[in-house]
Amino acid sequence: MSSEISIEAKGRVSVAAPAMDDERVDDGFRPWHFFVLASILLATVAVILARQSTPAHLILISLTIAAAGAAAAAFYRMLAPLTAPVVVRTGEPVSERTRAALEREKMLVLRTIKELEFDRSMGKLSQADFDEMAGRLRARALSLMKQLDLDAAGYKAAIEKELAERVRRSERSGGAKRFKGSERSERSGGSDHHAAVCACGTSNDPDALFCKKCGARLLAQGATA
Amino acid sequence: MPALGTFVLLVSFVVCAYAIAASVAGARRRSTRLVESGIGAFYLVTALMTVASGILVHAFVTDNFAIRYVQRYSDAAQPLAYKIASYWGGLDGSIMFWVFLLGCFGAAAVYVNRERHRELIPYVVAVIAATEMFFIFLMVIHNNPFSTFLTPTPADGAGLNPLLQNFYMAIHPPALYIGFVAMTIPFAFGMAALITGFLDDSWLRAVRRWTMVGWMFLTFGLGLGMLWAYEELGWGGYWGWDPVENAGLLPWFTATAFLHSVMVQERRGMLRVWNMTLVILTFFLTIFGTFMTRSGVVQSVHAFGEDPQLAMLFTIFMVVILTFSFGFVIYRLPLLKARNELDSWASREAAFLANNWILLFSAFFVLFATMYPTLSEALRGERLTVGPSFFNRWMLPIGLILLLLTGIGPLLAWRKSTIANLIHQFLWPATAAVVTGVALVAAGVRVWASGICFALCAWVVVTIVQEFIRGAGVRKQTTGTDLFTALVGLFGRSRRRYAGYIVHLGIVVMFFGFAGEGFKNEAEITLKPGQETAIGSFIVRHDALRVTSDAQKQMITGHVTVLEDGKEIGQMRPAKWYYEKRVEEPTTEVGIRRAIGEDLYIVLGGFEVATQSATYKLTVNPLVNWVWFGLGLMVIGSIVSMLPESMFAVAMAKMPAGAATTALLLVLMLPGLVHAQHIESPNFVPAVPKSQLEKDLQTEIICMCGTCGRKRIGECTCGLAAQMRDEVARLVAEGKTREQIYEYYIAKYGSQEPLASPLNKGFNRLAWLFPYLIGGTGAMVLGVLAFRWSRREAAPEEPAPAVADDPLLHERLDDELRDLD
Repeated sequence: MSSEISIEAKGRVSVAAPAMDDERVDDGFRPWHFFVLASILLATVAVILARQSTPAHLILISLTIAAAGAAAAAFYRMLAPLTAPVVVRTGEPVSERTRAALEREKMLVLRTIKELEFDRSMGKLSQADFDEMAGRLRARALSLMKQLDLDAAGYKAAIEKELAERVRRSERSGGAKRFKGSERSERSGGSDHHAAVCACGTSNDPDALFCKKCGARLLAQGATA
Repeated sequence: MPALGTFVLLVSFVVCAYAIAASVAGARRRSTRLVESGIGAFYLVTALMTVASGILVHAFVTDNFAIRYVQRYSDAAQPLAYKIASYWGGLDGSIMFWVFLLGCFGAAAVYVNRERHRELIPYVVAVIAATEMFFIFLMVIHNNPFSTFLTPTPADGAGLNPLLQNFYMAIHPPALYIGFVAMTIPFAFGMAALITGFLDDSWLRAVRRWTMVGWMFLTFGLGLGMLWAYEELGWGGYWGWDPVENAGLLPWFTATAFLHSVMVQERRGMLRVWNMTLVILTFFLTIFGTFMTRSGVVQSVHAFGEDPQLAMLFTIFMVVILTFSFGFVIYRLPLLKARNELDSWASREAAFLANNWILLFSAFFVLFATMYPTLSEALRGERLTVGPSFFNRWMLPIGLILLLLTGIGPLLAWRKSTIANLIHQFLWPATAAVVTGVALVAAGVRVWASGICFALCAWVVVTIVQEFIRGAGVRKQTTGTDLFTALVGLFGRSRRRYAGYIVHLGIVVMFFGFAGEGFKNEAEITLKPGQETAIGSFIVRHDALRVTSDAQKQMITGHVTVLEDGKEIGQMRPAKWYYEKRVEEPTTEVGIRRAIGEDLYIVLGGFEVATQSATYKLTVNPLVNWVWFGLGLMVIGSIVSMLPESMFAVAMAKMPAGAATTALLLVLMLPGLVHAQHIESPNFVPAVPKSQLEKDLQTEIICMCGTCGRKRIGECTCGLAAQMRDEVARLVAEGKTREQIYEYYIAKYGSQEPLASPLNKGFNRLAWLFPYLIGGTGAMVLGVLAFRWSRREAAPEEPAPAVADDPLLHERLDDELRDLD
């Protein structure tokens, strides 16, 4: 009996738990695992100690304890961000919002044109009206596309700038060599002397750990890089 | 346990306050730490409410009668399912259930949208948490479900109201509450958009989805409520314009209006202030509905009783909502300004405007008529009744207009339709409507409302079918597939539009069922064992009367055999159940024989155990099952519209949407008319048809017993109603006129209270004039606005955006358009 209920309890908590996940990669024991385990344990104890033992009663106790576990997890979720490092959300300047708005508007105009075409084919719209309206909409769509193109150019510049910034930063830290090396190898068409050559004679990327043909470990080169 | 429950409530109150403070402060100071913490606190409230609910349900299941609430709404003998349902069976628990559901929905909405609408989320959290906080506040200071007895604990509980011990009642309130609660989410998003000023159309998408969810549950909940009324209340109908039913209907109207007008905003960028207003109104009406049913301002079958203090708290909350939300609307008016233009009256925009006007009129009318008795009492000290006859007089034409519009709107194009288009579009639907109308007249149908309704049903069905067929035809041409694939493709391409048509089809089917009401056939008769009577095409024979009992109740059951065309077609068991805890409120267990064409509905009205005789109320309800079927279609349609696109191809392939239409058309051709029979049998007792006046009066005079919630005497099953029915029959037999009988009752009870609708005289003329007033004003405002918008079009058009004639750009546009297919 108790094991069944534990499973149930577990199911409940794991449903509530993803609420706390961030963009972090799942690596090993995470806080909510603790809460799941604790509530399973508590539910088991409560079921064993319970005086009345109709199934409905036991299930209810377990569910309530599972909810309490979820509450504890939510409590943790409430406090944890307060001690977390301040995350600066970059990459969401006003320009991106307007860009998204432009995209949406373009989509809307395109869909409206489609709808008009559809309505015309269904005979709800006369050709003259269609031409007039579709002409207006097409002009609007074209101007939007132009605007987006211009905006996209600006976007490219932003990406370049961000890239340059990152290169500068990584240069300052240790990994500069490898980064520059790969950049240079790309420029010289891949036949760079830094390229790791395997015992089988295959040329690999400079940062490769294994040969892409035979799969042997490229130890020496990895170390030098 | 009760102490723990109260503690959890207190903690959640504090956490709610923290969630609001942290979110708002976080948003103002751009601190992700605080915002995230606020979201965590918001989840915590949900978890805490789950714990509190667990504790309360546990108390119900373990019969912990130390808690007042448990003692009042449960007893030891109650089946487990009803013990759990008792959680939301009373006032205090229903408030808690409300907060619990709001927490679940809010948490889900925040979780789903936390990345997509990052800038709105803090305020969404704050608004939902504020609503939760209000309800938790109610529980903490006024309606604590965990409060215990100061005196020694009673040995057993009082038991759940027997009327609520019904399957539909166990699932109807949750469905309705979910519908109510889900309407808070659009409101929260709308407010967040207003507060932050991010009023581009991105918030609309989140709002539309959640309104759709709320609308679906509201429809489902209302439908279940109708089923419950039909099965449990035993008056042969399903909608009595009871204040509590109306409370659920009000936000339904405004939400429906919003779902339509939001399309105008999406397509044309018009009506932005209006849509925001509708979102706010819908939320406000959900709170108002809760207020109406819980504070005792109106009398009803299932209102919870009078409570002035609660009414006060609710009033303050509602005033705060209105001030706060409309204050922000006014503050943001410059950002909400839109370029409204109306190219033509024969356009879909104009049809949507008309639709909104009708729906809003319905909402205001229902609100007004529901509140009129309270208004009259407050202003003149005279308690009145505004009964179904008053509602029906207005809602019947409105419903028919709405049905007509359902058939017009989809056929109009956006912006403008020409005469040739109109003829092309309306030829078939109009023909269908006329043919149906003429056929009905020729067949001798003389119930004009039902006749018009049938004709309009044909009109809308043909509209929808035409839309599907023509759409599929066009798609077949462009994509070169077969008709069926093209039909499925239609859904894939514009899912919302065609799912919307399924909902419309549901409406039609429902109206088809409503129209059956016009052919209802009723009789009341007392039979001794072995005697039989006829109603419609059925012969009903009373075999015996049985008295049995179980742990909770004593059951008096009539054993009835039903025959049709001389053949026995079934046994029916109408009964009256007397719960030991509430003997004065017997429940009516209706015997219903369901069929697609008509239901036979038998109620055991009275009995005499000594002679084994029983008085039955027999009703033949034609087409009533179509109402449920239509409701089902509406829910299915709304589910289809919410399905993610990827699921679509698979899901739709299994469900040809035309199937229902075909079935409907088939049934349209079936004769639904009732014919009388002549039977030669020594035991035959003819059910004497009542005179028209007596029939009318049975719906125009209400029962004054005080416990039934002002049902009409023709519908109430209590003893007093039976007496009043006899009295009316006697007065009619004496040759008294309708006015004289009215006067008799006004004199007898000292006011107009026993009349189902106030007399059109003096102050009460207001009740009759007001609907004209709001309808007229609404139409005028709409006309002026539309006129202005169409005039603006005549003004010089904004200079067309200068676009270089770049052939490459044109080509790209064509490519992108092709990709959309």
